[in-house]
Amino acid sequence: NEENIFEDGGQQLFKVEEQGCSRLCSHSSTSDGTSEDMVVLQLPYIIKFCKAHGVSKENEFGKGKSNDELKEMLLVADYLTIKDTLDYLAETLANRIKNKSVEYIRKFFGIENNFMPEEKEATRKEYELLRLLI
Amino acid sequence: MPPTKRTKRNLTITITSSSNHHYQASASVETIINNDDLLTEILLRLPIKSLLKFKAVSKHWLSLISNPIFSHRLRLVCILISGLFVRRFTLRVNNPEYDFINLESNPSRAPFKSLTFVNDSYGIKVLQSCNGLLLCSSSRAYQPRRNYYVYNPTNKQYTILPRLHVDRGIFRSIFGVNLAFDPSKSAHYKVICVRNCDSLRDGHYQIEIYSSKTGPWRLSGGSFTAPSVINFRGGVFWNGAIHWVSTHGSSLYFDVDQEKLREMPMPPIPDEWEERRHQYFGESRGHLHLIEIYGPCTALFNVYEMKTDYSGWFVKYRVDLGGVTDVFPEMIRTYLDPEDLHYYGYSILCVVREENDDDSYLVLHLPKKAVRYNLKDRTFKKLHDVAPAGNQAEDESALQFRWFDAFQYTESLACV
Repeated sequence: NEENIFEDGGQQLFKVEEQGCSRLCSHSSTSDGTSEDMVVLQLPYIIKFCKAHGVSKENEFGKGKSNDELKEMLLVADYLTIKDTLDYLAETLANRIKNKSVEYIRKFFGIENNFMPEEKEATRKEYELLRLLI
Repeated sequence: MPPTKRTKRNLTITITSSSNHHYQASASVETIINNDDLLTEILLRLPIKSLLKFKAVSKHWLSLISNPIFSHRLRLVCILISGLFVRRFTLRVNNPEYDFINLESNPSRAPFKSLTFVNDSYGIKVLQSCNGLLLCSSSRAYQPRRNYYVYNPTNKQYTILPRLHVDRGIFRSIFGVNLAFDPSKSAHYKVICVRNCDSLRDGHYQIEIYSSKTGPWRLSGGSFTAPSVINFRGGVFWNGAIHWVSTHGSSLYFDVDQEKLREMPMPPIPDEWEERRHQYFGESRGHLHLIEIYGPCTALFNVYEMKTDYSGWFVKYRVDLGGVTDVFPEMIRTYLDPEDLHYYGYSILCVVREENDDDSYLVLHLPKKAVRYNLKDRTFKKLHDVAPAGNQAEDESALQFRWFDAFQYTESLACV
């Protein structure tokens, strides 16, 4: 199992697995050195996050970020296989949606309600019943 | 696993202008919806109530959340004991009633007061709690008429187990029925029944197994002997086996997968005593705990934990309830001798192991209340008021329940 640790000026930024590493490097452009040692990133989000991640507490970083920003970072973290960041973002997103309504969830993820009216009613009834009993 | 190779790389950052930012809100949102792995990462971290609610979001979410594999993974992520059901002792009532001692920080409703998920004219009682599922049976029925149920109080699903066999007109006595369910290993459960063996000889037993996967009751292995006082009713499921303790002689455990019965080592009994004095036997978060109290001061005791290889028990916690008796003097039965076993009136309802062991605690039952006692720093606080049973209202130091009356409640999406 290979782990690649990316540093910037001595500060450890993040670890990526082999697959993520090749993706990260594929976004680089060679200038002065070999493409192995220098990566020019075109994705400002992940760097912003990781620089902050290193110095501030995890659960404070998500605070100022909009839902869209968090969703985008999640995708980037997944694409680059940065597990710590992915876990943190998933946790933050889960906390944001956990007490929300079903309608809010649909808007949040852009999901269409594809239940037939009778199915909708059945699921709603089942939830209402459970809600009273739980 | 081979050691991880760590390669350090220097990263030169050139932040290009933000106009290079390729993601647009709609694109990223679609990608998350279509990516089941990512969605699952988020869903895994939601509390069960949210999950049940979000089944109604769309058909895709319904199928994701209803998948038994999903409820498996949930189990691995979060093992949280929500509370304890404790059975009230009431003479007149047909259907047993349960108090609910809430162990979460947020107040929550009791999942049930009494069990009415099916119509059983004898009433329904809880026999055992196992990783989110409850094994129940008819409450006041002769054995041949007794029904057994497996019930999930979180999603209200239940199964009525098939009746146990009658051979040639003889119903062999049931000594104990226990549930084996480990959602981290399988979505299926087994029920183990210990009965009199064929020839009806005293002290000779046989095991029958019901599997939710393969169906009906079947015999497992040959007959075996065990001490007549062994408590087959109070089995505890841990490490893939059902464990039974006995006050005299050997204690046993039954490996459910291998279907093998083995002797369980027990701590030594102090010299002056002839029989074991169990005050608690139970499981929490993958650990098996035993408490035996011999005195002389019964406010001092050890909590034993079993080693995973069954080589023996070790002392996991040392408990001194001196501080508790100071604050709750009603615990002390001053009319007794201080070395009397019942001098201190309390019972141990549960040993709760937390993810961080510093937070592990005991749930104690004192007269008219339940108290949470933190094992590391020995702080304690009242959790719950217990109304005394009618016939005990005048006895200030009476207790209502002991450990075998208490059942853990953990939320679970498991299908039964």
